Amino acid sequence: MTDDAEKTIAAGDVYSEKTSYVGQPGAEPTQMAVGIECPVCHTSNPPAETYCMDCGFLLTSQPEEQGVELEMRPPAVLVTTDGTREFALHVGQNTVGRQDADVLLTHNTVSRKHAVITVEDSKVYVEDIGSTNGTYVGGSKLNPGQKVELTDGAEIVFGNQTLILKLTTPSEEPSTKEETVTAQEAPVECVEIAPEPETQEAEAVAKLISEDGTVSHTLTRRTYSIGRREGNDIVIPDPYCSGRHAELRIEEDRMEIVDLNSTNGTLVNGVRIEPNNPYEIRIGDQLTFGQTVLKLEAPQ
Amino acid sequence: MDDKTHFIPPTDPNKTQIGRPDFDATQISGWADANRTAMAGSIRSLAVECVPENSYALATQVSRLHVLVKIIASGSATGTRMPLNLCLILDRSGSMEGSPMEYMKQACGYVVDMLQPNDVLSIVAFSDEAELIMPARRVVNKQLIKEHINRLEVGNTTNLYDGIALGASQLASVASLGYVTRALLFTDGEPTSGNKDFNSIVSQVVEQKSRGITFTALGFGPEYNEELLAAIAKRSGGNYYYITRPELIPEIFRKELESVMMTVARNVRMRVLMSRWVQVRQIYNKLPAFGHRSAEVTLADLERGEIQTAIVELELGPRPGGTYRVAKIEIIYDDSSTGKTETVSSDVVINFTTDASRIASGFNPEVQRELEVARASRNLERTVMGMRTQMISPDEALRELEKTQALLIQQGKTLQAQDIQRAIDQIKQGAAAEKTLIGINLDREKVQ
Repeated sequence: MTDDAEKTIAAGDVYSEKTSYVGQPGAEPTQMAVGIECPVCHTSNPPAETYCMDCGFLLTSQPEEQGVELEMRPPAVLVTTDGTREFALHVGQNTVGRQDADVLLTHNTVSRKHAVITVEDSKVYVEDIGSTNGTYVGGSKLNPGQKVELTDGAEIVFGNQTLILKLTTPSEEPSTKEETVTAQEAPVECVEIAPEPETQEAEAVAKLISEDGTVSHTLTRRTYSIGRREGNDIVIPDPYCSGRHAELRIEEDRMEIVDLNSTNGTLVNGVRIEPNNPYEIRIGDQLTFGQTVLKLEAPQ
Repeated sequence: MDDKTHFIPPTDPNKTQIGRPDFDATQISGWADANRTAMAGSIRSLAVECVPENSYALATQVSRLHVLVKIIASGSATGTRMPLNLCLILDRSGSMEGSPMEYMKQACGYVVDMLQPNDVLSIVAFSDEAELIMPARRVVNKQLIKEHINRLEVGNTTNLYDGIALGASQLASVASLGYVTRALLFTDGEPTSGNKDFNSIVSQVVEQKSRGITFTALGFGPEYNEELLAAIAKRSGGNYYYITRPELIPEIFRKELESVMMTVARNVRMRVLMSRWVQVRQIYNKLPAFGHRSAEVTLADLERGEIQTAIVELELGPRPGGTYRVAKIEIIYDDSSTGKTETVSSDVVINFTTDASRIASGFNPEVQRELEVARASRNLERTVMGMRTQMISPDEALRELEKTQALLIQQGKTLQAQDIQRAIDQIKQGAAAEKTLIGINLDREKVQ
């Protein structure tokens, strides 16, 4: 029901002020003092608001008094790389898939029943259950039925959807370091995913070079992250390039590029590709990230 | 246009620069307009209504809630229609030889007859390459335009990509404000020359859509790629037609043009703004773009008297009992009667309670029914994909279709049930039915 048009629009504008209300809005010292404080989340609202701008509580009412046991924090959450979505995990089995799953990823690279994430004894495991496009942890593909323990901050890729695990640290034990140490000693039935040994001589499959030759990367069979931010496998110091811009996958018989919903897009031979969709590329193709043009060439 | 010329100088090195300041400026002015119009209280073409599956939710634990969103286009004619900026993008590949070509020319002649002097028309034909038959201009000398059309001759291959690009450039040459912009893309085959890649063609359409260009895809005969044409129409908010016989071409062109002339809302987007402790799990049969506490999807253009529905599934976190607005749903669109970008919105308000018996009694049967239809739509999509990839047998397909049809009849969706019947007949005759099925829209309804 559209109520008073002016009011609605005003609320919309407040909504679209994205960054102001992350975290604890009540604690923001810069907020206006005059207004209605929400009895639930303590956000200060302009006098004209009907609903709290942050939690949506009806400001003319009072919350029920009886002590509702409020949400225990979930033991772990999965967040998207851009931080816009959060999936709370519960203790036990959490299904991951495109349909009727706990972690619902409605993208066509994700299988209907893709994987299962198990939370038990404050440990988190992932298992691929026969998905079409596979599940990757730290860049390595899981074999179906292989159960892998995940550590805090682990990057898990389902199809082409990347999620990051964030463990909730139990507040009563602040010694998180100790926990990480024990977590590394994987149980016998679990396979430790080790980072790729750098010493091993991997076969060069292609080369990615800039027109002026200042950027040059030799590519082997693996997945490369591309972006402006340090920490990417291929760093492009171009302000028009997004922090996490694209992913380059070099496989046995196929090379593909996935634009990670970058601001200015990824172009293959001058044509902008669809975000979040793997696009096959070949030797000789020209890839554009922001204003930077890189060419995919045969190794030597 | 070279994108590089549009780049603005970098400011904050930690932020990605947006490459298209012009486009942004248009957006901003659109918002400003929306505000102004709202205050003036002028009559807008669309209204939005949200119906939650249940007006209660449990305060003590995480719960899931479906919300039915109804976008309703006003049924009354608002006097004169908006002028059209129309481009005919025509396939003149070798396979069009004979009666298809003749009927296509006749169809274009009808289009010219239906247009008025303040409409703008451009015509592009493609074969090995795309050529401009008539640049964008007002429809003044109809006889001359028809002579241009009649001079069309069949060529060889199908360069769809270049055809789309040239057509879009003609539409873009006319200022979009004050016009209903539409490309009518007619083809009878798979792309066989130029850029033939599915994703490149669809991305191009998506990019043109962001410039306000809507494509209607008209597929003729057994050879064209229905997945491609359906994707072009769906991703740009236009219509898709499957024309089985050449003599039907003029009739379908006429039907589509009438539909375009009744367009009251273009560039329609739905934005779900979430309150704290709320996540959007999914928007049925759509791929949302997620932002900070928001999810946005593109909807098809609406014509007069049309109702479109969407179903949003929310996940609601526990909280102290009470009444909350869990989400606000905005529909942002270009209004053909006010000539401006407008926003209409509706709040989703839920009562959080500790009393489980209230929830059991609070279910809304209308949302349950629409949910069934949305699931049928998803099953239909899966059936079509199964048929295309030959993963399911004709018998299995028939069973699935009959199930879907029964459900549609039960829900009063008789038109769509008839379309399914047509597909069932086609399969029974041993013919391919994918081209019919892929065009069935279960979330759009024309109310007479």
